[in-house]
Amino acid sequence: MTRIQQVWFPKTLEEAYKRYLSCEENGSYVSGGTWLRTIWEADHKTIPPHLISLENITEMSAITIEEEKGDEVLVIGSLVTLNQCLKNTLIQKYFPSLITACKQIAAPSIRNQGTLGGNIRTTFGDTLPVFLVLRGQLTWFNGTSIERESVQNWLANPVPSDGRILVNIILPIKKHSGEGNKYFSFYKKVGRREIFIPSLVTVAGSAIKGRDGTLEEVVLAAGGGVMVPKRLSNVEELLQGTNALTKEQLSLIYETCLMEYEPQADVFATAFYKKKVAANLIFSEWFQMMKGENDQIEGGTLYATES
Amino acid sequence: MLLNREESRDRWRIRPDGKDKVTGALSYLTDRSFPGMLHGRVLRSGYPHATILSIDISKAKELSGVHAVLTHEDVPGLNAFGIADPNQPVFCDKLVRYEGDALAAVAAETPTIAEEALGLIEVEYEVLPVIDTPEKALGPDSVPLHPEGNILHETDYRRGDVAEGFKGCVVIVEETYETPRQMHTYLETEGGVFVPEEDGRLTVYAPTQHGYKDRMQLSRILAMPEETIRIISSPIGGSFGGKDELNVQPYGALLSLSSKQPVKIHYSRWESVIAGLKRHPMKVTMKTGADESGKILAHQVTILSDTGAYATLGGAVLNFATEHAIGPYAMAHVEVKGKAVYTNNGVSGEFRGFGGNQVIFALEGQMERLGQKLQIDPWELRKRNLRKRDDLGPLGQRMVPTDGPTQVWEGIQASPIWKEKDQTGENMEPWIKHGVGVAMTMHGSGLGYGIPDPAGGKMRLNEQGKIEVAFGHEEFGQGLVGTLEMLLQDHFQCDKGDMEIIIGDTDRVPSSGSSTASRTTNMVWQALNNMKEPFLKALFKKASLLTGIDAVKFQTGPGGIWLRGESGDFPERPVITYQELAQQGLEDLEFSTEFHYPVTPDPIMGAHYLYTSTAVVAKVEVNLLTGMVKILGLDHSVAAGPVINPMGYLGQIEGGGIMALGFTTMEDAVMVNGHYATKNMDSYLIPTIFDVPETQYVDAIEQLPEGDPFGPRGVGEVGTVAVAPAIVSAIYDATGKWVTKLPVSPEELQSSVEELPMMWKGW
Repeated sequence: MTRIQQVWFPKTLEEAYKRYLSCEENGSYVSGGTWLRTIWEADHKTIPPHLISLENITEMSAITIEEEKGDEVLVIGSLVTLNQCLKNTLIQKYFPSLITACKQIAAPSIRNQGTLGGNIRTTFGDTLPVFLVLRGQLTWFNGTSIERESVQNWLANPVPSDGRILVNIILPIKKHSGEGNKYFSFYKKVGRREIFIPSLVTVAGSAIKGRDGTLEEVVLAAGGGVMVPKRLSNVEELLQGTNALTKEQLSLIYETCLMEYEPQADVFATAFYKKKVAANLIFSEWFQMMKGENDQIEGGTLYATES
Repeated sequence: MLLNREESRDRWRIRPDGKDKVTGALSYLTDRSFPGMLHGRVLRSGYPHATILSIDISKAKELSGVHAVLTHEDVPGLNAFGIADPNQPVFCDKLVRYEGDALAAVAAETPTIAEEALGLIEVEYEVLPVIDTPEKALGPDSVPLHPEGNILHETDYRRGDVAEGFKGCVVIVEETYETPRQMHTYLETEGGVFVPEEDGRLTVYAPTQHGYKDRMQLSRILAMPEETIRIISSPIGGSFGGKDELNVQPYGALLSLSSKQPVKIHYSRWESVIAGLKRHPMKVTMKTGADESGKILAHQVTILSDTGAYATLGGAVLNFATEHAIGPYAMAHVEVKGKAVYTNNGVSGEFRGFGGNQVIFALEGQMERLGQKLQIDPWELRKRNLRKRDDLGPLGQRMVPTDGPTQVWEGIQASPIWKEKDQTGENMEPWIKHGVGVAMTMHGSGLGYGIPDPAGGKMRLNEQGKIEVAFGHEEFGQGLVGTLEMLLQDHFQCDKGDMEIIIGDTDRVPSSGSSTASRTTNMVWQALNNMKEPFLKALFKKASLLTGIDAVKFQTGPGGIWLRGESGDFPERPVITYQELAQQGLEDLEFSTEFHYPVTPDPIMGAHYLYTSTAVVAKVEVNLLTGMVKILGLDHSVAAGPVINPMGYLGQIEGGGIMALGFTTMEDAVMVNGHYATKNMDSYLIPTIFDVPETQYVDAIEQLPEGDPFGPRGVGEVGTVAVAPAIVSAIYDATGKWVTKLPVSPEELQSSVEELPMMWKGW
């Protein structure tokens, strides 16, 4: 049995990184700690003797709009809590599907403490499909400088304990020019009950529907449970540039979705069920988008009220 | 009456313990601390089935800060417990029968040291094959888990000749129904503090539903006279049957006596899941046949109950299930056979509804299917088979006459949901389906024939001039204290400040039997009725002596004894206060009563005498994309005699309804090879506020047959028993799919529909 010997409170990224290196195998960064606590409690991992709290590193807690090569981006600090996300007017305005995702994670007390960075670092957090769809970028402190990579690249090979510190999440703010074009986005989570529940399946997507109903820029991603989320590129491709679809085309898309999404089975649900849920959700969102009644389809509108 | 604020008027009383419980201010027994208190922990096997080769505690004993390490060798009395059949070892010596079996216990100065000491205890096992289903346990190659074999209890009830009965049937439906291993999921996990007193007595601060029974069981284990053990047992953070059996008590008591210091044990949720009781999973097969008019001619039932590693009340639960598999229906030919079977799974035991919930799910499913086959409205079919007021009970026993089944059959039709029964869904997405379903039953209260079911109470004027009542019942959230307050105010028209209610302390209360089986309200009502007249007579006699006023002119009221007002109004002040009376001596002002819960005169083991009835209507929404079911409405009609405490009654039915909703749609303590797979509440799910309907309308039918002397029946369980079949019937209404296994599997519902692209008929 391991006992905690020390909790460290570095004030800068450099200090935190050095501390991590000095602890060798015996340290862990902690932001909100809400997920780590559950795996420690479940004995999935032992509590390391050195806990390095990131909470005093002030540069990781802001949400700002910045300009990059003439385009606007939203920069979200990795220590921003899920609840801060929910309350932020910029996120509400530009990224409603991220709001939908955050609303459905855990319960208010946990959202007050749990951070976006922590949710990402698990590699299967419920916000990740949204970041994949939004083509989010991550910035990391590697001990000397800030590195940048896309969420998609990072998820392709997420090294769990390389010592790097996730600093920011960068989301491009899209301008959807073109008269009559409509931008749609959605996020859906399915768990074993309505709320306060780990996901079985998460699906996120976005598309632009032209005036004639043609779909462009279709992006889809799916995750859920402990699966690392991924883009559904084959499905995206089949939908790209389409308008009305025949039954046969729909069947093909559906079958492709069943093939491409590869969740793991668990005690509560088979992989096939999860596949069908994901395909059904994408299908139903597509159906609603083609009906075109709403610009933003959030899905899963239930969430616990804030106290 | 519809149970709400408007209908209840001045009887709509906020429960006295509510605020403290909701705000977290209430100090529970497990919150208590004492000087020098040690922390106890129990070493559990972790193996579902194993032979113990050796236990070595020497290293644990040497650890600094450890004050006691105990094994089976340190139990002075009976190394076993169990309410009905004490066959669960306090500490295993040779054989481990489930993963929660205890091998040793430790008391140390801190919880961390105690945990470290557990890690130093060395146990050698020889692991044995796991018997993880009743079918395996009954198989020819199965090893016996107990000296008597793998069958704890069998039931076999027959009347008529089912084979003959089936010959005359035009339809027969046969189905097997399965129910889950539901966890009580009390907010407060099992725990307590154990204090060895200077005079050699032991004080136990630990929740239970029956303080005197715990005292008896502990006395047997500790080899101490019962009188030397004091059980303080309220308040309790929820029980639902789960804390009726001993849990931490043997370990805390033994450790505190051994270390001669107070010891606290409080299970983590993880330990509670492994060690605690669950509802019996049952497999119920029913074959039911009817003639063309829908009259049921024959009903054949087999029940297979997984009782887990030890007995506790598994036999009694099976008896209850056997009786309730027949329900409120008059049938000529009946055969019910049941087996409660030992396995290496977690221990099953008492749980709200007591075996009724499982078989009623099956029985009501049969009614629906019969109606459907015969093309008779299943609700009408039920009516054609309902028992009459004076019919014998399900097991052929004489029972108290009741119109309950007919009353609720009619009553539920006033629910707003009922009116939606034959409506089609309005303007919804094609993958959203709505449905409405109904079910009903009759539920026995009290422990049943053949089981001692004593009751009693005490009433006195105490030293502080308060009307004091004492009962051996417990408050575990069901609202006993609030109900008692209202009963006392009804009897004496006194103020809240004029009374004192004592419960949950074996040194201060009489033995009143257990707070189980929906019996408590009825028993305190009866006890107060028994004691009120002699108490008032004595009080008035004394007041008359002191004031010189004729006792016939007296009545009790706020603060003391008043003159009977001509118009019924109170004059300005009492003629003598309760305090003034108390100051003049308390002799002759104490009364007690002892009696037995009403029981059928017919010697049929477990048969019940008093019944309540319920009908439930549910509205569901099924999302075919996911197979998830949302309960949009759940209304109840309950016939349980007069309502004492409307909010308490409503709370029991609403709360019971939600618990049963969980049983139906999500709760299952999944076991894989004898190990719990749902180890905590992130995987063992109970409903949240978003999973339950906003309002449950509860119609309480108060009318009892004329001359009924038994008064208000308890409603602690009846709200849970007919919910599952109502929801499942609503799911059928929505999807055309019959669910036979609970909790409802979204996967099964989803797979029962064709794939979405095929569903679209056009755009």
